[in-house]
Amino acid sequence: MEDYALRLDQVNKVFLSKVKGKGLRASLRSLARPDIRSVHAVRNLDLAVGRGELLAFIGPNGAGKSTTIKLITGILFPDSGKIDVLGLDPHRKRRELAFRIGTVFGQKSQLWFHLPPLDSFHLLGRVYDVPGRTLKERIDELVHVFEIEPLLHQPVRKLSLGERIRCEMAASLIHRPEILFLDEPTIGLDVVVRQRIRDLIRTMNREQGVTIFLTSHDVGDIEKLCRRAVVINGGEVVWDGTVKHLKYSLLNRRIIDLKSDGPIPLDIPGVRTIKATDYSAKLEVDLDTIRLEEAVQRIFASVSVQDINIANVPTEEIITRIYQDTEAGATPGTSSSSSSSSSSNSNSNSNSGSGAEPKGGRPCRA
Amino acid sequence: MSSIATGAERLRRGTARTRRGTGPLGSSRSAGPSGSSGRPDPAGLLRPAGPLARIGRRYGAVFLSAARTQVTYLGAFLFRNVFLVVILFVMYSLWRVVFADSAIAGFTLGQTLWYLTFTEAVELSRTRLHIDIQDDVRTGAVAYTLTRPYSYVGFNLAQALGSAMVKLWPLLAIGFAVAMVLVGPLDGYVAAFPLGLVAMMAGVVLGTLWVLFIGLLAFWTEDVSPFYWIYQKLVFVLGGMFIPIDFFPDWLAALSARTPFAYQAYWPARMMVAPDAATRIETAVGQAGWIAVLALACALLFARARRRMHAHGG
Repeated sequence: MEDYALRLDQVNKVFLSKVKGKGLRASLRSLARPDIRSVHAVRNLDLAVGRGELLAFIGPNGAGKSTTIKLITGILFPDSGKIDVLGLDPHRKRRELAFRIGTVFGQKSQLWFHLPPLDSFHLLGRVYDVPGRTLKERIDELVHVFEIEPLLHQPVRKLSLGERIRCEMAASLIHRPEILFLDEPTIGLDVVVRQRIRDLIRTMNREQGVTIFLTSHDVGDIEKLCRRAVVINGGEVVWDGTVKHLKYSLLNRRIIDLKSDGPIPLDIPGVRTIKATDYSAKLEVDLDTIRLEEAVQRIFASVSVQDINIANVPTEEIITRIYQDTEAGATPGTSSSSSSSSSSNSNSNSNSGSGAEPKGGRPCRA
Repeated sequence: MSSIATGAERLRRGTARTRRGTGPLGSSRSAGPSGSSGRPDPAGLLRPAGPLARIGRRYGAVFLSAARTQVTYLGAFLFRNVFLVVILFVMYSLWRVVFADSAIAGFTLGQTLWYLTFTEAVELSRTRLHIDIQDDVRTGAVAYTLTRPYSYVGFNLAQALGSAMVKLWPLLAIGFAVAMVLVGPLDGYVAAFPLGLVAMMAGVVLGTLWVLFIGLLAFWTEDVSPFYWIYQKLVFVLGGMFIPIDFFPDWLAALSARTPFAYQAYWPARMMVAPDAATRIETAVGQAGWIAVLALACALLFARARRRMHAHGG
């Protein structure tokens, strides 16, 4: 039997919302005959996350991320489908489940604004029924790991954002949750603090086996932390695979930055100029059309190259492309669908999660 | 005995049950709704707490945190009570003319001003919980609270009561000082105070339950200010906020006296200025009944509201 932290099976959630036109007349009309429209927030969602996994759950605004998290944590009721989180049905056993999960919302503090973090830790200890002596030991451990000793007695309102987030994360672990939901944990942080928070997240996952469900718009968080990414758009999973695969294989392209001592007139099939000035150019090589080696040879043959840099398509761009493709109704990464599907079996999976390892990368909407 | 031993044993096992390694962030469960299940206790000394004790500790902690938050800005906390001085002075000036040297419906000028200090203390100590809940609903922040193992209604009630109970004391102190200066001491104040204070606290609970109920209506309307406006006026009039309802015509006084608004303002204040056995019984029974009704109404309303919870904020 596979060891899942959570599993969603054909889950649907439809919201009904009243739509009102402009002006007084429309307002009056909507009172008498409201125009109710349905929004399919989550559509036939299948998702399995293994214990100990560190999963990036990403999507554009309004894609259904928050709704999915609310369904998983028992805040919302699904219209149909089955949800299993740590062996519990979340919307029937919400409070029981709450003892076993933790949450950090980057934009919403769980600490009391006017009180020092230590007071909030004690309050959370009470809320989660952690006995007094155990709570003290637990707080000591977390203070040590998150290095928040000097912050413990300052009111939260006086902490910097980075300091507050460290305290938030410590607070979320008071009751030793098995799954931690992190929603934009690095939002608004500077690069140094962001890296520190990422290190702490990695520590929680790798050393202690906390399953982490990360939602972030920061591609750095996803690249540096997660082995697996699930992309959701329009309420559907449109991509589920390893971040490595997402990065290297989905859009089978490379970016070449070129500098020369003269103009760069290029006409090579499979090589597209993204941006060009007189002495530099940014090119995109379609590896389905031309091999990288051949493209480079032809560039060198055409231009006097002073400097060259070959890189993968930035993950941010790949994700944007997935969003755009799905919004346009196309299969994500259709421009390289053959390579995508062919590589899906060969992609080795480094996921440490035991139960729900993705089989390479796969666009989920064929 | 054996159940306690078993519980302690389970607690000990909880300590050893770190799932992966022995790191400080170990994710093995330390607590749970069943109380003792999986709870570590290195010394093995803990007895599993009963469900009522756990609930009491949980909401008690929320209550105390809210109370402490209230006095963060001590200067502002004390200064905002100056409004009470103004109200008392204005009403005293008015009533001095109206009362002359007589009594109205058995109340002297002194009793009426003292009465006002108590009704105002209950009224002004009430929190703006309805606005907080309305904002929670509008922004979707209500969802964050629901990932915790407590009741949304219970959490908000404990938090609001923690704030209100702290706000009550300086209001009572200021009311006491102003009334002493303007009309002198209230006969029987010391004897009436203990039970009167309990009744006033119960009045605060009633008022808090009302704003909680009104706040929960935001799940349907998103804007609860009209409901609050109506409620406030009902407390002013039917609750006997400014004048004892004994001043009303008989039919209106009889009607007002049985409303929850009167048990929030009139009856607790009457317990202080005109205490007798009948008033005490009437107040205790009425307050307990209305608190039960409103608490149940809030619980039922939230159960319905959870079904309506949807996409605010994603």
